[in-house]
Amino acid sequence: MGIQAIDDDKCTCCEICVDSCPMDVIRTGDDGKVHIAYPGDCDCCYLCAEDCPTGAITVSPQQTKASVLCY
Amino acid sequence: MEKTDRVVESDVLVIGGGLAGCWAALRAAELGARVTLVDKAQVSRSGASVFAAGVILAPEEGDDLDAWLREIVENGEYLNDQDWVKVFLEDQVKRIKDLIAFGVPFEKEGDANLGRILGRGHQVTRIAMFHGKKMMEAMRKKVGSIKNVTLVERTVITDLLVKSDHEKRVIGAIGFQARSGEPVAFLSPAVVLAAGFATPRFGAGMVDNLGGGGIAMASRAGAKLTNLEFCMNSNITIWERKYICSGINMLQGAGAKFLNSKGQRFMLQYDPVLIERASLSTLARAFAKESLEGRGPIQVDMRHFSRETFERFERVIPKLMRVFKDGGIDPGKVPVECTPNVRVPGNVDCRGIRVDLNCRSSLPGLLAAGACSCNLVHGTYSVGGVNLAYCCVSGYRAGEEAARIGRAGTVGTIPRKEIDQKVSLARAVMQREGETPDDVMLAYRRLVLPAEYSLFPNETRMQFILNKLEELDGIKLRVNDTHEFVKALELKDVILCAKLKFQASLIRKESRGDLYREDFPFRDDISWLKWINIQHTDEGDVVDVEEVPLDRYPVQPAERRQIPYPVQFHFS
Repeated sequence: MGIQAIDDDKCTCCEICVDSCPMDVIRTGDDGKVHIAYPGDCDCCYLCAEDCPTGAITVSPQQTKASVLCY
Repeated sequence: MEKTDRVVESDVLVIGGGLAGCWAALRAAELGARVTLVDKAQVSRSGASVFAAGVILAPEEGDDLDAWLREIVENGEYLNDQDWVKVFLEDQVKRIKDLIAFGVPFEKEGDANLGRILGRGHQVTRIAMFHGKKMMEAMRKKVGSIKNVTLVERTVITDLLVKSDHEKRVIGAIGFQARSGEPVAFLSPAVVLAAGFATPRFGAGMVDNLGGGGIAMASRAGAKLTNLEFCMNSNITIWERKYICSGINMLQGAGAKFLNSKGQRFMLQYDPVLIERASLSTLARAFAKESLEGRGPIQVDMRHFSRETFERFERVIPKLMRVFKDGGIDPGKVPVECTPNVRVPGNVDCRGIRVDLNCRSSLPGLLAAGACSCNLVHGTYSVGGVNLAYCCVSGYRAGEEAARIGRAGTVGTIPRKEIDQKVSLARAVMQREGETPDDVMLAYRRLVLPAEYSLFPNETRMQFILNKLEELDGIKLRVNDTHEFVKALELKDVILCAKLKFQASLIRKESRGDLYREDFPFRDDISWLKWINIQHTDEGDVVDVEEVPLDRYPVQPAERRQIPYPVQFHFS
C-alpha cells in the first residue's frame, strides 16, 4: 500500500525520487542505492512514480497509515 | 550548549515555497531584495499548491467586480474584510495575466486564454482550470531564474527569532536540515511566513507535509491570530472509504450528483440554490447526517458526464483519475462512494495570522501570505478558487512590503545566545523513551475526528477535547532519527493549532461556516458579525472580539437575524 517497490533492474540511482518525495519516504543509502526508508509515511501522492525517468517505482493508491473516518 | 554555526543572512526570508511563498520571493527579488526561500521539501514538490486540484478564481478585465464582491461577501456570510476583497479582485486580474505569462498552462476556451467555468458556490464569479503540479513547476522555474533568490530546500523551520530592544520585532528564524538534523539560523529584517495550512500525516491525501508550523510559530512569537474557530477543513476526498484524493471542486463544477442510499439528490433540501455546488462545510455535514440517519452510503454520480469532461479531468485532475483507475473504479459506469475527509486543525480558507492589506502581521518584521495567514477575502467560505488566488495576491503584496522593510532595515548583532536556546528548545522534544510520534498522532486523530467532536460538537464535548489535548501534549516522545524529529515537531504544532481552534470555538456562540455547534445551531447575525482574535503573551492568551465594520462596507445583510444552520444534527 502506498509506495510498493523500486525495481532494481530499472533504477539508475539518479535520486530524482529522493528529491521529489514531500514526506521523506525515499532515501539514498551509504551504498549509493535508493531505497524506501519510511514506507509508513507514504501519502500516495505518486510524485515519485511520475518523476522517475525509467518507470521503476510502483505506487498503490491505498494508504498504509490507519484510516480514521469521522463516521 | 551546542553552537549553531550555519547562519544565512538576507534582506527577506520567505518560509515556505508553495504558491504564496514563490510569489513573495519573486516580487521581493524583483524589487532588489536579497531573498532566501526555504522549504521543508523541494519547491514544486511540497505543500498543497502542487496538488491544487485544478481551479483558481479568475477575474478578467470587463467583469463587474462589484458584483463579484457582492457574491463573495454574501457567500462568506459577511465575515469578509471588504477592503481586502476589493484589492484582491483588482490585483487578481493582473496576477492571472502574470501566471499566463509564466507559462502556467490553463484550460483554454477557443481562442481565449482562459476557459472559465462555475464551480463550488459560483453564480457570477468564475474560475479557471489548470494542473497544480505544472503551475508549481512554472513558478519554480521563474523563481530559479532570478539571481537574488537563494533556494534552501529540505530544511524545516521550527521557530521565529524575536528581538526585543526598542520594540519587539521578528528578525529571522531557526530550522533544521530535514535529513542531517543540522541546525540553521536565518536572519532577515523581513520574514514572510507562507508555510501553508495544517494537515500533517492525517492521510489528508497529498498534502501531508504541512505541519501547521506557520500558525504555531507565529502564535509562539506573539502574533495576532484570527478566525481560529473555523480552523478545520472538510474536503470530500475519501473514495470507497479507502482512497484519498482531491478533485471534488472540478466534479462539482462539471455537475456531479450526490446520491444517498435511496438514490435521492439529498443536497436539494440542504442547499436548494447551489445544490451539489454547496460549500464543503455544508456538504460534509449533509453527508454525515444522511449516513448517521441510515441513508448511507453516499455516492458521487458521474455517469452523465461526457467523454470530453473526462478528458478534461485527465488534464486537470489526473491524480484522481489515476486513483480511480488503479482502484478498479470506472466513474463513467458506476457511482463512487465518497466520505468527507475532516481535518482538525485544517485551515485552508480563512483563518490564521492576521494581516493588513500589505500582509503585515501584528509583529514588526513579520508578514504572512497564503493559507497560514487569515484570508479575510473569504469571510467564512465564499467560493471555490479563492484560496489559490489569495496565494497569488497576498504573496505578491507580502513580497512587495517585505522588500521595502528588508532593504531598509537591519537585524543588528547576531543573537547567538537566542539562536542556541531556540535550537535546544526544539531538540528537547526528542526523548529516548516514550511513545512514537506516529502513535500519538493516531491517538490525536481518533480523538478529534469522530463526527460528534469534529462536525457536530457542543460545549461539553469541546471542553472534553481541550482536556484530552493537554494530556496528549504532555506525552514524552521517543525519537530515533531526524525523520522522526520532524514528525515530533509537527505533532506539537498540530496540537497547538487544535487547542487554539477549540478555545476559539467555545467563545463563538453560534454556527457559521465550518463551525457548527449543536448547542447554538444557528447563524447569529445579530450578535456574531465579529472576528475573534487570539494573541499569545507571557501572561497567557489574550482574546479580543472585534466587530466587522459593516457600516462602512458596500455590502451588508438586508436584515440582522438568526438563521438556522443548513444541516442540523444532534448527538445528545
